Amino acid sequence: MAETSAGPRYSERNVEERMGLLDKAKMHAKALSLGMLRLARPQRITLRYPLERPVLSEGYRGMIVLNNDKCIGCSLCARVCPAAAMKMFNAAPKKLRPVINYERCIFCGYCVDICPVEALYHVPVHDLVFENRDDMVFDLETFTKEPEEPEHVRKVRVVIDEEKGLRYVPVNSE
Amino acid sequence: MAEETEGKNETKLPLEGSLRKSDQALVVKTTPPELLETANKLKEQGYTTVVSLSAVDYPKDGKMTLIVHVTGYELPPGYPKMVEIQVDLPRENPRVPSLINVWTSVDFQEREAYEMFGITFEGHPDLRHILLDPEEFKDLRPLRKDFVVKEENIMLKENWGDYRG
Amino acid sequence: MSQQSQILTRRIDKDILEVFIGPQHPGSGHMRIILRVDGDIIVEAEPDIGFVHRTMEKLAEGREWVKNQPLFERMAILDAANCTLGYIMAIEKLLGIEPPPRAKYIRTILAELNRIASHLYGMGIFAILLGHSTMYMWFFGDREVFVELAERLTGQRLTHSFFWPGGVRRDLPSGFKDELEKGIKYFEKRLKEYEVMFLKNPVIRSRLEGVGYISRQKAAELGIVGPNIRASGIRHDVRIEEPYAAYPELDFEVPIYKEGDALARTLQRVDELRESLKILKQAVNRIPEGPILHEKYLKMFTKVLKDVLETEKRVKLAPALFNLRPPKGEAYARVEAGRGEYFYYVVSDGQNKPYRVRVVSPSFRNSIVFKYVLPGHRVADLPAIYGSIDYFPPEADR
Ligand code: SF4
Ligand code: SF4
Repeated sequence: MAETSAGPRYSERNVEERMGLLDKAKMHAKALSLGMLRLARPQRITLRYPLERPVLSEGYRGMIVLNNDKCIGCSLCARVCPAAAMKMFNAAPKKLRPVINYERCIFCGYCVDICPVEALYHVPVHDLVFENRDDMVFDLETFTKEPEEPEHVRKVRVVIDEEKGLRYVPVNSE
Repeated sequence: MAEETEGKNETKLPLEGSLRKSDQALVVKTTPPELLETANKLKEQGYTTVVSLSAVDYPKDGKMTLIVHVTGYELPPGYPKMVEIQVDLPRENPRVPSLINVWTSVDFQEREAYEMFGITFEGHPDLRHILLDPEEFKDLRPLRKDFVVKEENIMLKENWGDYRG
Repeated sequence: MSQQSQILTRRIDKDILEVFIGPQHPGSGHMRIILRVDGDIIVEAEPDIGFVHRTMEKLAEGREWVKNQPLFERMAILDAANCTLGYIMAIEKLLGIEPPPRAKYIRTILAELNRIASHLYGMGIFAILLGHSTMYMWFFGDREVFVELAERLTGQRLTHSFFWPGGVRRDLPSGFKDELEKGIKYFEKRLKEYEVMFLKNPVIRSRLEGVGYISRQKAAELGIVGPNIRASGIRHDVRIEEPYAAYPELDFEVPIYKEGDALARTLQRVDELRESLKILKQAVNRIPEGPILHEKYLKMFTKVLKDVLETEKRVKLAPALFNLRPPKGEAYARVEAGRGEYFYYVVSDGQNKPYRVRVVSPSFRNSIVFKYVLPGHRVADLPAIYGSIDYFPPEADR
């Protein structure tokens, strides 16, 4: 594996060589001691969801909000929606507006990306709980309001760490 | 049929066909009685594996085209990486000899083409439905063009009603 | 050596029992295998696939070209970039365009992040099938690092829908290189722990060695793909055979094992993880500056679209991309995904929707293994074989 010729290439390998000739007892012991080590110094990345929630990364394709004033009613968003989650209706005569059905939305962000006037945008909120299915169908009023996360949620920032893999840093840790 | 097979076969593979410009696949046209012969020739040349076996339905031209993509591993230089065999079939009761004795890898793919298009592969030992429910899709051939899947309207009529879910 | 695990059986009808494994969800999707057993030796196996079939090829015919990306991604959401890249590449071949170099590098980065995540997922399932729940947790936990990285790049954890024909949807976010390098460093350390805990663990080794042997010739005959065929000694990786994205410019090895058993397939995956890290490291360092969408479409951008591209580095979906009408013709494209080769064949009749899309997924091609390889093995070896193939039912069923 030492050679460094450029470009992709195949390299033949051998199981016997790869596995080495360590005896069983030794390997058992090694596995056990690693297990003990990880018992003492665990590699935990579990988040106490839903009490703790990660801050979504910048540009996360979260829930979608309509800016009613910007919208020109061109219907492109409804046409592009691959899940048929967005549909147009007549908000007033000659005034088409989209509404969204979160039972269907797959958060592909196509609608946001096609809107020619940037009337749709993502908010960094993803997991909301609805008490019944009807609430997941938004009308113009709910669709134009930015959803908020419940108050009890503690926000943590996800940091990629060389030692632990992922680390969670509380936002505004009091 | 929507295909422009410009380009002669300039590859080293001794087989009649044309090189497609878009993707450099060698397109070989044949007929049901000659299919096995073509397949055997390809296999002799090192094309050991079928990547895909399927069909395209052309109701306007009154035909269906069986399309088999064959490849080989560690092919000699200058050989096309992909050979596409095209066989025109009638839409009514299409039948071709099964390729399973040439390439084992067509086993499930022939079953799929059978359920999706209704093509009978003569000599396939176990030709029955594989992905679809055999009862429900006894006479339905979903990938034929006369099986239409309706897309919803983009306008919301009053309520989501039937659109739920 | 390896072949010895195959036990010759005589078929005696009155002693044959039929055992239904499933329908169940062994961690990756609904499947069923119908076994005929003589004692505890499998004499016949019949994979009954299709429990999660969605007839995607049909659905694709009713939607505009780009709208099919989220659809095809649902074959294997754990490997979303690799399984949709082939479709996008096929469209690009029809259009006769190539994405700009920077877009190619970004594609490569996401594809490798997905490959790692997908291998870790597959091995996690494999570990739990073998009863090794520690490794199951470790694999899944470490996968989270790469899912997180993919989220920063694409805006979604799994269903990235990240490509436009001729480019990608977003540029690398600021600070991505640092984060990726940290993730790689962490994972390199973990790979060493995997060796001790899993690969070289004598229990695991004896469960895998010589089990599910597939000879070189048989592998070619059955047409299996991905790490499975490479573990049987066949030099086949689409990244080398039909180079795409930025792969031809990068320096990496594709491991080949000759042994063809479950152990070789496992080593194959772990070694590929290492190579993926190498690719990622090079790709973030060598990535060239430049546009991330083909200029043909950039020219059609309106002012709003250009502003967003400049300030947010987000490529909006220009109407020209949405109303794509590739010229009449056909094209195929294939991509090396985590579990093997994705094959797409698209037919255009010049309309804004595909006339026909054929997709063959690696798991569909690998599912044939159960029928032709299981006979001759003990029922107790089934989980080891099933897991080592890295079979993913939703992908096979499409
Ligand atoms: S995010 Fe995708 S699925 Fe959801 S409404 Fe927009 S286009 Fe439709
Ligand atoms: S695409 Fe934008 S402007 Fe057009 S209807 Fe949708 S939200 Fe309104």
